[in-house]
Amino acid sequence: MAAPTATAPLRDAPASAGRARRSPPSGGASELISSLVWNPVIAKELRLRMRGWHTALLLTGYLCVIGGVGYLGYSGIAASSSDVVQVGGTGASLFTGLAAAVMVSVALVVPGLVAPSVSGERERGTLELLLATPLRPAQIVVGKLVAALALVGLLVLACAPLFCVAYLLGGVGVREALELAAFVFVGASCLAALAMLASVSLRRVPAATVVSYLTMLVLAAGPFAAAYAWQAAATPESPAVTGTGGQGVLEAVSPIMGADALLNGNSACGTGGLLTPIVGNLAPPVINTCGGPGQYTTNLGPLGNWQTWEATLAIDAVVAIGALGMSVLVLTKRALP
Amino acid sequence: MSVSLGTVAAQVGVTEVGGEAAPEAALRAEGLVKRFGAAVALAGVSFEVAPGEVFGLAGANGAGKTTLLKVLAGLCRPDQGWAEVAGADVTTEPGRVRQLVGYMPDRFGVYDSMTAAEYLSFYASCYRLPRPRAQRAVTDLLALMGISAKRDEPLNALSQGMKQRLCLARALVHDPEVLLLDEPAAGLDPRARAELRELIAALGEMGKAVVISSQILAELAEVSTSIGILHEGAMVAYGNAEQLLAGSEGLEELFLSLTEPEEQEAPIGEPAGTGEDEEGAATK
Repeated sequence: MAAPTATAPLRDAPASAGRARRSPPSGGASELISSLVWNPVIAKELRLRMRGWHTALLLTGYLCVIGGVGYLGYSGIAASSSDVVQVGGTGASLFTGLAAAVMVSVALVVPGLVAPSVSGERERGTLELLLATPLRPAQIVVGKLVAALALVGLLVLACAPLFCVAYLLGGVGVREALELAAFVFVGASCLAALAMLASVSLRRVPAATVVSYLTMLVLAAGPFAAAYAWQAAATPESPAVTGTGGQGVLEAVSPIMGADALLNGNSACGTGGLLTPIVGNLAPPVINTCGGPGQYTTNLGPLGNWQTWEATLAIDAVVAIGALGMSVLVLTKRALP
Repeated sequence: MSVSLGTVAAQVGVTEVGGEAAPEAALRAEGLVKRFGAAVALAGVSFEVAPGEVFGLAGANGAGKTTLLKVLAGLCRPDQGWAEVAGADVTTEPGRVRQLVGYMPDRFGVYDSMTAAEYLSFYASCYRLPRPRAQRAVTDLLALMGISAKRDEPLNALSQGMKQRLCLARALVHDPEVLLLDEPAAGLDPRARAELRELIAALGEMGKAVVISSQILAELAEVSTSIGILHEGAMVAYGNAEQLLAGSEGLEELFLSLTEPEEQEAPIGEPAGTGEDEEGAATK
């Protein structure tokens, strides 16, 4: 057989050969807005999430937990109060218990919801098909994040009737509910963005899930423990003042401290907190001394004094935006190696 | 898939490419080089595919076929060289390239709890197809692939062959000018493979440029109008299928002759070389 000895001659190279590379157009904020306005990934994710039995099971289990907390809280209040007036004055305590239960539940659910989102697509072999469409990596990341947060919103809304009981008993108002919703939403967004970063970075779902939960633990317990250690190491010569300097920032970074400040930073201490402390401070008592100069406030230097929970909210928002941006960068690099 | 695939393809909104505005080549590549660390996946690959041409890409495992298709699909950035699809540069305009290309990878997954219609509708929305056009395309493509009866079935109920057809339908959903098919016949039974060949030929006749990689060389030769043979990242043969195969007994023989491993300097059975002797002597 006479095999061809040479490759057949190529046709002329086009005039564009050797031209300088142009940067692809990038949108920044407009790209983010566009990814929210038109994003088929959101609809697809919501459809797939709501179709399976997992979401129904999650919602049922979650409502059982929150309902159980509400029932136990109400029963305790009813048993310890001799008349309706006393019961009515303690709606805030029920609200605090429910809010704490919602925060813990959401914190436990979010990493498990988000971590498999992109790593799962990669494992399944569908990520390449998505990246082969005109969808930008930012749209994939934002779409999956929005769908996960929509489910978190559903979880929070689903227990609204229980919060209404607290509202009817008195002691809490719409403002407290909105502040709680903002705190939970921003905190969930922060955890979701960090889990997304793990999801786009790691190839396997189990690895992404484990890293997401470890990140959550470090974020929750790390600054809390560090602030505690800081306070414990204080001496009369160099006293640690809560709410200022490095200790103040550590307190604000910790979602535990932020949640404590939101739920227990209170008028009883005269520092502009939200609710009457019924369940007691979650933070170590050495840190939050009632009436102390930095009680539930954090000095953020040039930004002035903030309530600790507000500072936590702001820091969570910054971390969420940073992690979201990193996720987009990582996926973009993976999308076009 | 039905027998009259060409007719059906013409009815499903798959438009013909061509006319005065059509570029000379639907796909051009020049000097494409891609390295993964020390490994060279593509070593200066050049070729072009005209509208209506079915370009068969043959090569052993690891020859660079999948990398080449990924570069052309805008999924992998070349280290050197350039390529353009219907006038769009794969390096600087990957978004536009993805709009113009229908890509079917060799390994792919599906969303098991979606139905076949939802699956195609989702990808149609990814390409921003207007809803009426998307609905029409979904219905027609399911008919074209012969899986209309499975329209509302969850995908985990479909056989591998049906999923393969669905993935091909997905690559066609936005009516691309160029189709890049990486081992599309893998997992298909003989009848489905024959129907696939017929479909690809019909798409070529309609003016689509099709690049298809396959290990089944006889079938590749049957469907291709031009052929390229990749060996260790280099295009060792490329040209019109009839001219390239003239004088050889088929694509397989041509492929084997071009990709034959280089002869070893010290054939088996010969006495050991001097170096080994010297080494042996040295150890003594």
